[in-house]
Amino acid sequence: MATAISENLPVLLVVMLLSTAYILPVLTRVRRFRLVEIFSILALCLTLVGGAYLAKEVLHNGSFHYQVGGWPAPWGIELVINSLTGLFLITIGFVTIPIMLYASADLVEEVGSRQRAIWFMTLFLLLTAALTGLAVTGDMFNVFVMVEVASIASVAIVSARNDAASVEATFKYLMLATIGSGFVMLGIGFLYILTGNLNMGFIQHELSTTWQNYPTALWMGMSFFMVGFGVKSALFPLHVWLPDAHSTAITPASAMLSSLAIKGYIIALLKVFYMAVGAQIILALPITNILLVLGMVAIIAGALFALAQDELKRRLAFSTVSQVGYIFLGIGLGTVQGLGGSLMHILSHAITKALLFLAAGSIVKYTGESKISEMAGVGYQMPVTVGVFTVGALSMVGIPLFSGFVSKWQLLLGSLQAGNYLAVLVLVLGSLLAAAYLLPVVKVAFFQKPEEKPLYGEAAYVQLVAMLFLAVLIILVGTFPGALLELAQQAARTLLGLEVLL
Amino acid sequence: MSDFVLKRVVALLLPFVQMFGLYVIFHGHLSPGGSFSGGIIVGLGMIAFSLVFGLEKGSEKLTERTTTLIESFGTLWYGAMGLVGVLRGSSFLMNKGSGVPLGEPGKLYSGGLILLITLGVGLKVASTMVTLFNALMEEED
Repeated sequence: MATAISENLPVLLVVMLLSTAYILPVLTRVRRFRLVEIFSILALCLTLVGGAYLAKEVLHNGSFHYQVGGWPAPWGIELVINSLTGLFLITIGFVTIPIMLYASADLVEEVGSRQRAIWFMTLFLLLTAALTGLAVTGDMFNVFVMVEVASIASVAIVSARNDAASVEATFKYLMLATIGSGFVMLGIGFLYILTGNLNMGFIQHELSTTWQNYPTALWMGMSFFMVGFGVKSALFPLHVWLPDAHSTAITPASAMLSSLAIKGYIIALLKVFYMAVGAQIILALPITNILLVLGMVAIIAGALFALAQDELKRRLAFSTVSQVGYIFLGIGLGTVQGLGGSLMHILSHAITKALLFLAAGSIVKYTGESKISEMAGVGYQMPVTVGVFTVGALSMVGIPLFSGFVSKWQLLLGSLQAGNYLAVLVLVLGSLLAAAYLLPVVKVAFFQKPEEKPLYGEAAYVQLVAMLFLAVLIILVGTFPGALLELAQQAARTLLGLEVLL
Repeated sequence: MSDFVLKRVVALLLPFVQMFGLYVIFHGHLSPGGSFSGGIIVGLGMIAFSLVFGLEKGSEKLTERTTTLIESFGTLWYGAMGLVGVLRGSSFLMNKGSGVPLGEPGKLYSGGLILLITLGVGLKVASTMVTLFNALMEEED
């Protein structure tokens, strides 16, 4: 039994999450709602355990393949488990468990009814399952299916609150996400026409010998992928849906979308570029240069937009645009150090932004103020919440001992190694701007006296536990990044084809 | 709507529509069609009933609770069929390799687990059609 589980673990993780998502709607009549919530948190905990196990396997024994249905590669669907998979599965586990824990405290009250709360959890688990699927898959069409499931689930959880603002944001997001899916589909079509394969390994094999015959067609296919996944992961000029969607959704939804959902599409983009097309071709085309420039623009522009916002959740949403720029900058460098740094930034930004959104959600909910300028003295009333917000802010700025430092340091080293001093300048400037837009919140909350006597208290006990969990995680990753950093760098080496593990 | 002819015709046709839907589902591995098209035919039968006899009667026949149950069951059934392979020590969704008898080629039972899996998918699609229809109709209130 144990071997049956460990051998089939990659597919079982996805199946387990999907099954849990579909068991939940049946449980509307369970008298104690707490049990339903514990059930779904348990599924997420199993994902983390499974992900950590797979990561350990990959770190010691290298990548491996899994054939669904026992059909060998070109006929059947193949799952490829490498260090990228391991790293992203761990990220999923780290982020979803505290978010679900946080949501469990006041979900019914936030979305209106028990039925809607269960729907929210179903969508949340479907989104997690789709992201898990993106992490393990090695097949282009499987990528498309998972991208679609993730898009629809994430569009739907934006509208969980069902008020005018969130429905408008949902509609905007739905339109742009659909356009993005269309572009991805076209890109897959191009790859299929060029190679006659949907399996990533076979596409790479085919292209490696013949791509010079049709560079324009390949270049076009790659542009489709870049635009499609760029819309979905909010790369700077294509980010217009993000601020509305992420600031009007309910707190756990914004945390999930901002920290994890957009990263799933970046993982998919990396899989297409480096596992399907191959590092040699990607580095020969000007793709990485474009990503580098867009990343740099995103860092500065996102941060400037964030500075201009007075609404706390909107400011955090624009900060996500800026931080996605860091990830694309690392990808654009095209070196092991740079790519490893951006993979590490995927993890560290996920836990940091989840914490910031959860804390911001608590502050907005309990004070009733959504504007930063009116949050004077909140820290006196909610010391723990604002305290963990400070931890998140420091990590986002990139102060040593917090997880943000680890990834930004890697990106900085990568830029220096590549001799790209403009990127170094942008990275430092981005960090300064991050300090400029996040630390004033802390300053206002802790160092300004409140004007009248407010009547609110600290967030719910469970929510504090969830936020403290993330804060401790940020400090742990920041102080002992060893194994995770090694995993990220191994993933970068694998993707760039320097370690023949694929 | 109180059209006598319409009601009689639909009442006569419905069993055959449902039967045909089930036929398409079960013969997915032998003839054109399969669980998606068959499931949609079954679902459309239910929608036709609601359109002609009224939404209330339709949701009396097939309550929201029932469609939810069928939907969840269909998905879980698929997962369970996939696990047969895992439990027999081979791979997820493995059919013949996990010791399932395949049956005689050309006969109804000739694909091992495929018949059972399409049944689950067909049920899921049919109930999803009904759910979508009900959701769109409720919007108009």
